[in-house]
Order: sequence, then structure tokens, then C-alpha cells
Amino acid sequence: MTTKEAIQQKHEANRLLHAPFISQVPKAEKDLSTDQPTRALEPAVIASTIEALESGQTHYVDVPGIMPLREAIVAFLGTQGVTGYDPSGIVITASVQEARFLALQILIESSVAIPEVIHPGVKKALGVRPPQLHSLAIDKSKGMLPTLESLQQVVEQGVKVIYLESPVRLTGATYEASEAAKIGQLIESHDATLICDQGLASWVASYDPISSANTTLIGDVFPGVGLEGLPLGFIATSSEQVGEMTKLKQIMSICTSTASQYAALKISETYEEKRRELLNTFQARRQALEQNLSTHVLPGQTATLLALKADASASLQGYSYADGNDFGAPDVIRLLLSESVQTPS
Amino acid sequence: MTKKKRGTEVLYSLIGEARGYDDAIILGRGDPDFDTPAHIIAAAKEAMKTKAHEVSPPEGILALREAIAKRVKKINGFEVDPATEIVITNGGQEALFLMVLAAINEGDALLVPEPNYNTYKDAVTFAKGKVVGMPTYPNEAFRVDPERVRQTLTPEVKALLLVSPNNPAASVISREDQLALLEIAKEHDLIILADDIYDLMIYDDFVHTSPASLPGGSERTLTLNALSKAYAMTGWRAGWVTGPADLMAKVKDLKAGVSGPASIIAQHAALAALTGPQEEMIEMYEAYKRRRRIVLDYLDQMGFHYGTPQGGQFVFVDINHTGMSSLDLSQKILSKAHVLAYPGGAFSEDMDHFLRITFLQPEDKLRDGLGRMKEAMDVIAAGA
Repeated sequence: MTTKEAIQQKHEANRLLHAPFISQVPKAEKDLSTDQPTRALEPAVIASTIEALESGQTHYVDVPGIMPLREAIVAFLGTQGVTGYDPSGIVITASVQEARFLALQILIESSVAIPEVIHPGVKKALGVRPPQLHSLAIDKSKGMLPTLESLQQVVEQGVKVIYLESPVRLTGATYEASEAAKIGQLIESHDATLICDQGLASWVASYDPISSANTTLIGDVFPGVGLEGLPLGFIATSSEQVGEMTKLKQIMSICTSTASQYAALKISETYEEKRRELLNTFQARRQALEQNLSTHVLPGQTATLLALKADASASLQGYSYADGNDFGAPDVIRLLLSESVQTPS
Repeated sequence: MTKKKRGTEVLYSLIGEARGYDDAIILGRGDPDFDTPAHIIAAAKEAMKTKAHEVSPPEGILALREAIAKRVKKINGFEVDPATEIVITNGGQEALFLMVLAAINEGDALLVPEPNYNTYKDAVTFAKGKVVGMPTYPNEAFRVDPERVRQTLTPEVKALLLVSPNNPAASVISREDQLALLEIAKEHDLIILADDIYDLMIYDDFVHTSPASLPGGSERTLTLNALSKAYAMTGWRAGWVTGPADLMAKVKDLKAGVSGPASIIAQHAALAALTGPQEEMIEMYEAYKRRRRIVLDYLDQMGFHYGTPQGGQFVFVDINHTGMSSLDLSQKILSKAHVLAYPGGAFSEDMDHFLRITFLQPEDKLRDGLGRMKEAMDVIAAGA
């Protein structure tokens, strides 16, 4: 076997890396398949970004990101009820996918437990250097959230790294406060590490974060206001972990694009206000759609997403949507509500 | 150094120290002092208004891949299919990372001529591979000797790294040597990882040769390049990998797994860089030539020996006569003169008697920095 054949053989066998790719930008007016809502960038954001570039912000910057943006991320997390992270524990990444990759690859020693139903980007990130996988059973009646029993089982088996989404990327379901607290306690009592993707938390009216000293958060930076062309993700982690994350980030890409970071910094000035306005809009739109498709709706608390049983597709002619099969849930489809795409009535 | 630090950590630590001086002059980091040309920024502005929601697959937009294919054909002399043989990356660094991950399976080894850019070793470690280092020597102008490569090979070596011009040694691999190295790669069925990032920065009569341009080279060569150095776009993170379609399929999937598509704004800025006016890029190159001369003149005055830089944006200076380690000397120059030159020991343990000095400052600042360095060397030589 030649060297290239050996490479190809191993690559073809890597099912994780071949998990589907979901675009973060809609392909057409009726493409409801993306993870986050989109809209045009505001002129003030464009102007501010160009001003930064024209004033010389075209060079390498600090590996974990410019400090003002890292401070803004901590403030942003605060609006979601998340405390306990310092700007020095924030790493700005080139996308939420890079955040997934970096967090997983640094924190996993040999194995990780992931939900049966998970964003395919997680599998792709794991596929770059595959670990041993353990599966977390999900509760369909609770929007595909992993059960507390399955979490308990894996940590008691000695699995040290757990990956969760709250909200779940497919359904938008979140843990209630009591469940989130129990998960935090479980993680701490077993000295495990939790990676929690809370990228959709901006769109949950009353979000209950999972808090523990051993939790690393990842997510999208300021979603929904036009940053898709300048994508950014974040990692919020402890002072013990941030050093290793920063080292790998430097190895991977030295730093994140300055244009993206300065655009996000400008957005941070008014994001909370805009987010609340958008949240109200999406909540109303979701409620209307939910009434029209009520027999198909699956549980979820995220205003921008509506997960439906797959047979709802008959009512959605002409629209494209996320396929639950890509997430591990073949009988589910997911609609995104966004200003920039046409929503079914 | 009490605890062994990674070379890159040493360099970042020195950058941090240099920032403590208001009048620091950085002659260490490979970050061009020029700002990105205005027409590229203008393209980014236009893209933010009209292209921010353009869909990009993980490998990047076709228009940019087509522009890269044209560039590669014109400058590097080989053809690539934009549909299947190019992946756009977050800078040359991500291109390097993906190239290594694509070629090195667990347990495989990469043959690395030393000295070399640290990230290659870091990426191989991440891939759970091994590095087989091969020394190159200043008295041979850091030549990547094909016979020495042949002797250094082990059964685990599956890929050969060829960086030309070399970082930090600034040596260019001759066409004759590239041909011989390619023959070795064919004989031993090695993948070639080629780093062309300084291909537009070649001096005197030296000529850059891309391994992929040679007969039989393209089918086994992954080549990286980026806009950071030639177009002063370090902060934009715009690079690419080219290679045969079968290997590039893996690079594309790795890209999707590591970070997804590059920013669409950065892609349009890159497109403007490649297809727009080239005068500023040429002016920068002419400025580097002048500055290179300034640095060499000062080094002559200071009595240093150096390998004449054949390419790149730096010179590798022999400090053996000082009797000091490269880190000690670098730190002394920094504390006395507030000038940062990188220690060669950070690139390779065998290069601890070298400093890397860049010419990435305006001429007046370069003269100021080197003048201060000369004074500092006089003080150091006097034992102070």
C-alpha cells in the first residue's frame, strides 16, 4: 500500500470526520437550515471595523483575542446568568466550530461522553483526532436533552469529560434550573469536566446555565446581528485550562482575524438591547408558527428554532430545513426563524 | 530557562517583555510593519456591505480558489484544479496545521531539516506523530543536502518538510536539490510538505522552486502559502493549501472539522489582494531589499558573521563568538537596548548560537534599533 493509499484508507474509515457540514449562512430566501438567525451588518459596525483596519489593526493580535472583546464576552455571559469567568479565561476563536474543536481536543484525555443527538460539528471536531466515545441517552419528551440518569452513569463509570448542549442545537431544549444545578453537582462530585455549548442561550427568555467550577463554556459570539461573514466563537474556561487552549490556538492559527474581532467589539456596545428586541420578535413568530404546526412540534425553549416531527415537511413545500438525521434524530426536522429568510406562515 | 519551554513560548515571553518598554523596537517577530494596502481594506468594506451572507463551503469560495490557481500557475509554475485541489485557510498557520494532519497518521514521522519554524513540530506532536530532525549547517549555507536526507530517513518517515526560503535560516533550496529531494521522496514514497510562504521574497540571483512544479512532484506534494508576509495581511488570516485531489479531500474535511469556512470578508479581501493592483506589494519587496542591506551593513560593523539571507524577511546571525546562549544574548540586548531579536535556540536546540533579526521596521527605526544594538554589544563585550 502506498503512503497516499494508507492516508486515504484511514481517512475514508473516519466516520466522525465525515459527519455532515451545516452552513452558518442561508443559501436561499427559504433556507431555514442554519443554526443562528442572520441579518445585514449595521452601517455603524462596518464603519467602525474599517476605521480599525485603516488605523492599522491589520497585524497579529494577542492569541486569545483582543482584551476589550474578551471583557465584552464576560459581560455577555453575565446577561445569560453566567458568572465566575474572567476575561483572562476567554479565548476568541475563528468560529464556534473552532471553539468546539479547541475545547474538545484540549480537555479530552482519552474519552468523552456526548449526547446521542448532537450537532454534527461536534463529531467533525472529534474526527480530527478521534477519542473513545461514550453515548449519553436522550429524552425525546424533553427535546432530546440527555437524561440525568445517563449522565450519572457515565461519570460513575469514570468518564472524565462530558459534552453537552444547552440549549440543544437540534431542538432548542434547555435544562431547568434544578436539573442544571444537579448536573453541576454531579460534575464536581466526580471531578469530571463539562464542556457546555450554550451558543443558542441568547434566544432563551429565561436561561438556566449549568454552573460548576469544572465547566468550560463554548458558543457563538453575539449571534443574530450579522457577524456570519466575520464568524467568531468563544471559549470560557478556567485559569488552569486557558494556557493549554491558548497554546493550541497559537499552533492552529496564531490569532483570530482582527476584522472579525473589531466588528464584534462594536456590536458588543448595543448587543444586549438588540438581542432583547430580536428575542421578542422571534418569540412572537415562533408562537404563531407553533400554533399552525402544533401537532408536529417538539419541546424546546429557544425562540429562534422550531423542531418538528419529520412529517411536518408536507406543510413546508419549497423550504429547506435542518435534517435531524444529521444530528442523530432521523424523525426530526428543524426550522430556523430569522429576519433574513422567509418564514412559513 | 529552568523548566524547558516550547520554543514558541520563549518567543511569546520575549514579546511580552519587550512590550514593557515604550521605546521597544521589535526585530524578532515575522509581522510586516506595513499596513495592508488600502484597496484590500476597501474590498473588505464592500464585502461587508454586499457579500456578508455569501455562502462559503469549507474549502472557500470558488472565485478565490480560481484566483489562487492563477497565482500558483504564474508564480509557482504548477497547475491546480480550483474545484478540488485548493482549500482556503485561516492564514498560513492553519494551512501548516492542516497539511501536517493530512499527511501524518499516528506513529508516522516527518523529516524536518533544522533549524525550522517551531509550529511544524507542535503540529506533528498534535497528530501523534514524530519528528526526525536533520541538521543543516551554516558553513553549507544551511543547505538541505539530499544525501544527508537519504541517510537520515527511518522506516517511520512518511513525509519530508521543505521550507524554502527557510525560517529562520533564510536559505533557498536550489532547483537541483529540489529535484534530488523529489527523487528521494519518490523512491521512499514520501509526501512532500512544501512551505512557499516567502516565495516572493527572494534576493540576489537565487530562484524559488516549488516542489509541486517539478516532474512527478504535484501528485505527492501539499503546498502552503498565505498573504500575510507579501501583502502585510497578518491580521486577516488568509492562506491556502494546494495539492492532489485525493489528499486535498482529507484537507477539506479537516478544515470543516477544525474551524469551518474562513471568514467571507477575509476571503474577499484575499481576492482583492490577488487580483487587484500589485504595485504596493512590489514596493514592499523593494523596501525589504533596501532594509536587508541596512541590516547586513550594521552586522558587518558589529563584526557578526551571518548566512547571507537568500530569501525571507530576516537574517540568521552567528553569535558564537560572544560565548553566550542565544536566549541570554537576546534578553541582554532587550534589557540594554530595548531591541528584540529572536534567539536561534527557540527554533532548534542546535542553533543556540544564532539570533534571528528581521528587517520588518521602517528604515529609520531599523537604523535606530541596530544602532542601539551595536552600543549594547559594545557594553556586553566589555563585560558589563
